[in-house]
Order: sequence, then structure tokens, then C-alpha cells
Amino acid sequence: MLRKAERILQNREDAGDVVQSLFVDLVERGVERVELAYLYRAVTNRCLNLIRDRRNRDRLLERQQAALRGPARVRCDDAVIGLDLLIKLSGRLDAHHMEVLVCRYLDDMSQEEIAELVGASRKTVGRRLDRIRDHVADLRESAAAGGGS
Amino acid sequence: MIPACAGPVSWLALERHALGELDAARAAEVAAHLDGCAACRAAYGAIEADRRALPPLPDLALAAAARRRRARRAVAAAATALAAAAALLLVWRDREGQLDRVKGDELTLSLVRERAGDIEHDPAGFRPGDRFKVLVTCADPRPLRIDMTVRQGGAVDRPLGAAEIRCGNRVPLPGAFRLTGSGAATICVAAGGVTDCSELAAE
Repeated sequence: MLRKAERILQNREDAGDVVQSLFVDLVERGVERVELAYLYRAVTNRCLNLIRDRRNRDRLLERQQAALRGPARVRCDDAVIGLDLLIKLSGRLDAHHMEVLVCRYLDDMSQEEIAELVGASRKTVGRRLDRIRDHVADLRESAAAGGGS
Repeated sequence: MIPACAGPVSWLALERHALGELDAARAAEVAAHLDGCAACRAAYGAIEADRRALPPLPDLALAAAARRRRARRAVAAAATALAAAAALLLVWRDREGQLDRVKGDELTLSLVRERAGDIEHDPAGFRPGDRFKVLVTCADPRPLRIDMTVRQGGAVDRPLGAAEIRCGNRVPLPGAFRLTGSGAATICVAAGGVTDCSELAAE
């Protein structure tokens, strides 16, 4: 779980906090057995909650260690989804799209795996990925035009 | 440079493979893919390299935690029956053998200091470079937004930003911060008009 949180947040301290708080909650609730897939979703959502909060963003970017992102085996067209892009996209996409984004471009899941994990149809996952690609392309065009985002 | 992979094995599948959780057919597929794909082999290698020989979680600890939960429920039920009119939310937690109790909108702050690998709870002082975690105890049933500040030498800083937490006993705020400077520091947490502070003297 720590590896997964580090892939998203790209720093060990915040990743450690996310995983620790998740397991503290599980112990508090008396959960003794839990599926890896559940933990995966829980870590994703907690990391995205951190990223979504504007007050955390400067700190996350300051602490960013790109190497913790790991090898980019799946790219969004040519773009590697790193922390900076993730932060920008979190201002444009809702929680469902952000979860699919992390599943596809950081956890390197296939559409079938994502559909099974999030409990959506493959068609829905495909539509969300299309929308994600549109926003990534838009952000890259804005950056290339010097307009930022 | 690791070559790209057209259809990589997801990290989740690699983790399951490393844990031996995949069924035989899927495990064979993954193994065959790893044989022919340097990118996925590198990812799997990272998982293997990270493996640590952690001791198994003792069942005893889980059983003890369950017993404490049951005991807390019993105490809380009795307290609620006795003080129903007050309608106070009581939070009972076991902290190193002591029961902490926070009522209503109370909020308490405690600090954990790390100095060269040594951890100290509720320290009285700091040296430049010491790292601190902030723990909050509160009982509000709603998610609580905590504003944490460090006052030192007339300056006010918010090194952790604001955080939203679910109340409990000694809930860690996300992140940690280091203190520098030679003057005493005052660490405060505030939520809903309630503030608690802790003073740290420079050592």
C-alpha cells in the first residue's frame, strides 16, 4: 500500500500518513480481513482527497520525489501522469474520473480490471478515459501555447 | 532505458502475483508475460526488492484490540445511560493503559517529536531540525477541519496547512514539520472556535 501511495503522492511522508491512517481506521473498526482490491481503492481515494485540497498542494509539490512515481508503463497519449498533472486534473475532473485516471495511468490497469474494481461497466470506464484524455490534451495544448492552466 | 509494454500487467496483479494470490492460470499468464517483457519485469523487481521480512502480526494484538473495543463499548453504553440528558459524546480510548476522555466540542493537542531517530511523546522542548507530528483528540461526530499554527518569534506559520479529520483519540494530522530558530515555539490547533496550544522551549 505504501508503494501505491508513493506512486500517487511521490513522497514518503504523506504516503506513510495515508497508509497509517487507513490501517488505524481499519483496526478501530475491528476489520481484521480485507481484500487487496479494497485497500487499493481506499488508498487511491485517500491520496486523491489530499491532492484535491488546495492547501496541501504546495507541500506535496515541494516534497515531490519523481523517482517514487515508478516506471511509466502506461501513458495518456504521450503524457506521463505525474503529480503535477494529477493536481491540475483534480481541478477539472470529479472523483469517479480521478479514480479511473489513477487506475489506468498510475496503477497500469486494463479497462476490464478497472471496471471490475470500481464496479462500473467497461463502456463507462471507456467514456471516462476518453474524457480524461480530452482534458490531458487540453492542458498540454494550453501549456504549449504558454497559457498555463 | 526500459522498453515500453503494449499491455502491461497492472501493479495490482503484480502485487497479487508476488503474494501468491493469483489463481494458477492467471499466475502462469503473468509469469509468461514477465519472461518476455522487460518493463513489467522491472516493475515486479521493484516489488520483490521492497519485500521485507516483517514478523507476522500477532493474533494476540488483534484479540486484545477487540477486547478493548468491547470494553469501551460497555463503558460508553453505561456512561450514555447515566448521562443521556447531557447528550455528550464520550470518546474513550486506551492510551498506554490510561483512558482519555473528550467531551462534546473539546479539542486537545499532543505532539510527537523525532530527534535523530528517537521518538518522544509530549516533549517540552526542541532543538533546530527536530521533526514533529501533531496528534489531535476530539469527539465531534462530524468531519472536523483543523487549523494548525506555529507561532515563533512573532511569526505565524501553517506548515501543515489545514486538514480535515475524523475525530478520535490522538488522530495524526497529515504531514510533519521541522522547527528551526532559537526562540520558544507555540503550536496550536483550532477547530470550530476551540483552540488548544502546546509550548515548546528551545533547548
